[in-house]
Amino acid sequence: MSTSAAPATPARLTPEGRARAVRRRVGMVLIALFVAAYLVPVAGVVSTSLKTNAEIARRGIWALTGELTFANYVDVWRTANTGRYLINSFHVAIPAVVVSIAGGTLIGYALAKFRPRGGTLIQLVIVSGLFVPPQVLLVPLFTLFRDLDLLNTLWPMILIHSAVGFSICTLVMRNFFDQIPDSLRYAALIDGASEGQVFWRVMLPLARPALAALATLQFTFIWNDFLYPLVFTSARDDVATIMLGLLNVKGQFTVAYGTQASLAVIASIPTVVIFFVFQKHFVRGLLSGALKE
Amino acid sequence: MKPTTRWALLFMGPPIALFAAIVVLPTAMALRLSFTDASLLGQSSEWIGLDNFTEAFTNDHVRKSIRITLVWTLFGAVVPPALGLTVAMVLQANSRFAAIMKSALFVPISISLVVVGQVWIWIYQPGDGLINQLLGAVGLESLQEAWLANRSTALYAVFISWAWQQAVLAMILYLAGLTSIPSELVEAARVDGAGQLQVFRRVILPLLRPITTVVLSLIAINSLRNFDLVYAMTQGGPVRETETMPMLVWRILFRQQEQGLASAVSLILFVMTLVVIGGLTWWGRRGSYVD
Repeated sequence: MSTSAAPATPARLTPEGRARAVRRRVGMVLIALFVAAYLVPVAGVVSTSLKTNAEIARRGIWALTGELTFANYVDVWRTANTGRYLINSFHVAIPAVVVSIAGGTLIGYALAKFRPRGGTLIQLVIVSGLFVPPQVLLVPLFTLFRDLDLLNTLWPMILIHSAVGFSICTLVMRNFFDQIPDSLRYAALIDGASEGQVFWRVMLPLARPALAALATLQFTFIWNDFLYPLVFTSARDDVATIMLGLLNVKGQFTVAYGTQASLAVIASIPTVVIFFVFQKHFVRGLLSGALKE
Repeated sequence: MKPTTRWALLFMGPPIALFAAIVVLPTAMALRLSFTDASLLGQSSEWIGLDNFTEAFTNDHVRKSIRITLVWTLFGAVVPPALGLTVAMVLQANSRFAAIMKSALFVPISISLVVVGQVWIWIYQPGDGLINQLLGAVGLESLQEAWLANRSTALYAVFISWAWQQAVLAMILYLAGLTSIPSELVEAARVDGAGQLQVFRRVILPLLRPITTVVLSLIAINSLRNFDLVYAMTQGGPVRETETMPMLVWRILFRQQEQGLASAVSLILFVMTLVVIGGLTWWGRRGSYVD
């Protein structure tokens, strides 16, 4: 204990050493403030989800007292469409993650290795999809999906997230395949493999880390999306994804903070888990889109 | 046809067709709609030239939302990156905490803006909200406020809850950037007599420039797209004080049913996004030593 504490005789510290000690202490205070700023809100939701609504009504949300109970979780599972919301969210996220990554990988690979004419233009158009505000698409797509009778189904979200996802996935995969030497492809071709086999057997296994990064990014993005479900499915609670469900439940149980908090925790578990598992990939994914290593 | 061209078509054809149908074509349709008085109610629409754009630039609500979006983007370009970089540097100097903090901080960025909004509503709540309770506890009742209902605080309140999440994004990226800076470079600058501040300004910041470009681009896009959080917290209120452009487009489209005007405003937002991203890309390229 005493060894790591500041020495008792500051006189023996050089000015430089003293400055460093001060800096370290300021740093510690900053870290503590930062931790508090993030811990308190997160802990607030979790603890609220474990208090009874009566208790919250009596003492307020942020009171540090109260018995802990899982009643809210049971309650929100029974009285709201929670199971349905979760299934709907997976129903959107899984196909859209798979399609967006598959499509982006195919485009990125074709651009990097087959170098078709007009490739630069194709890449420019697809990547600029990153900068199209969702609202631009919303106006025409709403009428389109209405005419196709797809409102209040999960199709609009699956289709939109698949297509919109091509932008980031193409960017990342193009950069990735650019770094893989062409000699690898030629070697496999000489050995008698077809272009399809080279892609599937040689290139794709190499791309696993990049694919994991994209899967983390895309899943989080699609799972957390709220705008498209609000626009396309707000008329029916049984096709709501979990994020829209949160709002629906909030409207239904206006002051039942405990109920709302427990659903918020449930809604956050999948992405939090995925982040813990794939955190390294996430950072790499974000950076590889823009930085070539 | 060259065989590689055929393979390229086979690989890219289907995804490009989907992209064209869901992104390219609708963007073109939005452009066409913006010159008409189309309505969601579906009567026939007429070509009205630039009227929607004239309307957009003269309408007080649209102008206000443009202003709000610009202020948001500007603050967003400063507050979260500055906070993120500060904490990243402190963490790097105290590497013992870095690993734990890094994993813990993935919680705030993995949760959705709807959940973030929910928590912050409870923090800002007038009665038993966290801020007012803390103010009460230290005897500053006079400063208590209905933060989200007060016209002069609402926008800042929503912005802070957004910046809360974006700062972590910036921090995580900066931490990755800082660890990639060779410590010999920093040491060499020190040996040459550079002070702490000089090392930061002349060595660390320039080396972080590519990361800064990524951070600023991501945050700018998030600023300009900001809908979920505003919808969850205030729906644009009180009295449209927090009505960002995406929120306004939603309102024009679904409350007023005016497809033409909604398209025009959304396209103005698109152009703003392109200008911001173009500027950032130019800035990032200008300063990089290697390409």
